[in-house]
Amino acid sequence: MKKSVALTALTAAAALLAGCSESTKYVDSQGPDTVVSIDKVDIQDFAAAADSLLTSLYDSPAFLNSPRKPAIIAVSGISNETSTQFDINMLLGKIKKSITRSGKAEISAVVGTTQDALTKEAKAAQEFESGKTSNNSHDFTLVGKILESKTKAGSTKQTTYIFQLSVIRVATGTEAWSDEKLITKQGSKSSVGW
Amino acid sequence: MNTQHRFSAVLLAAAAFASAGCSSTVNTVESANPSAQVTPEQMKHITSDSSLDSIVKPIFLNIGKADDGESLKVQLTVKNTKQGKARVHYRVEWKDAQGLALSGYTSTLQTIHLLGAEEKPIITIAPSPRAKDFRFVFISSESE
Repeated sequence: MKKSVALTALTAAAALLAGCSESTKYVDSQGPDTVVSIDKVDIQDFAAAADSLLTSLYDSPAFLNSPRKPAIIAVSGISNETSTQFDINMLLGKIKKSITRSGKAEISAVVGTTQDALTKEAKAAQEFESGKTSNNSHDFTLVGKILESKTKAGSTKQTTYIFQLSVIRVATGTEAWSDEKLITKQGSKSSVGW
Repeated sequence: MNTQHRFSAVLLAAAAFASAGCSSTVNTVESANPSAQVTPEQMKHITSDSSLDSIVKPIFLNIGKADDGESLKVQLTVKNTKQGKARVHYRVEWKDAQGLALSGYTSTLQTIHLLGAEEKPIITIAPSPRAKDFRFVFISSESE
């Protein structure tokens, strides 16, 4: 008898617990309900970094004296120097989207890390037919780096991700614009909501 | 001073010391005759969350051009009206000349941290030449 009462109580407790567990739901990918990880770059960090850096780029006179309008940018690459692995396209995709939609510049598909084999082939065929070879495939080069700095005080961990981005003017070989965005996260463990 | 008064004074001093340790406020000094020509724009301020509005208030709006001479540049100065630290999220929505929302151009949610009584400018640049108008949206933060 005692055993069956205990079993009933256990079953009821399990049912209650199941009812309390949070179900999976859709949240705004860039909203404040997303998960904040203490030891990795989150999707909202890429978005915030790209947004902040591009605001700085558009506020600069970098493209003012460009030989072409819109200017052509070749992506040299953005290196991940953090301890975690992620696809750099999560940041690069946002940068490319914003730049091309701004009307200030276009991204080269002939040179750099964003090159496309078919476009490159078509361009080469075009040049062969016309007998003209263009040496100025791009006006600017985009280069970047993501760094991290970790520290700890007691059980509180702090991670800072440093997003660095530069635009180099090909004609002069000088930096036309450069900036960095720091994102610092502090806590003892990852949490939902920020 | 009797014992009761002395005890109250100690308690008061301790409370003042504790509150000073918990909050950090900001004092500012600036030129009495600033050389920048500031032409503030009128603001239409809509409040749906009075508790958020009582913490972070927009106080000054300037509109100008970015360094490229073309792009619309907007600066909204916000003030933390409290003595303690505050944190709010905001995003900027853009509209074209017809007042239609430019989908895909809304900024990502950004966070602004303010110390007690601190004023801070939020600067944004139009992401496209089509963006002619804007709206700042503030969202309260879960903590702080």
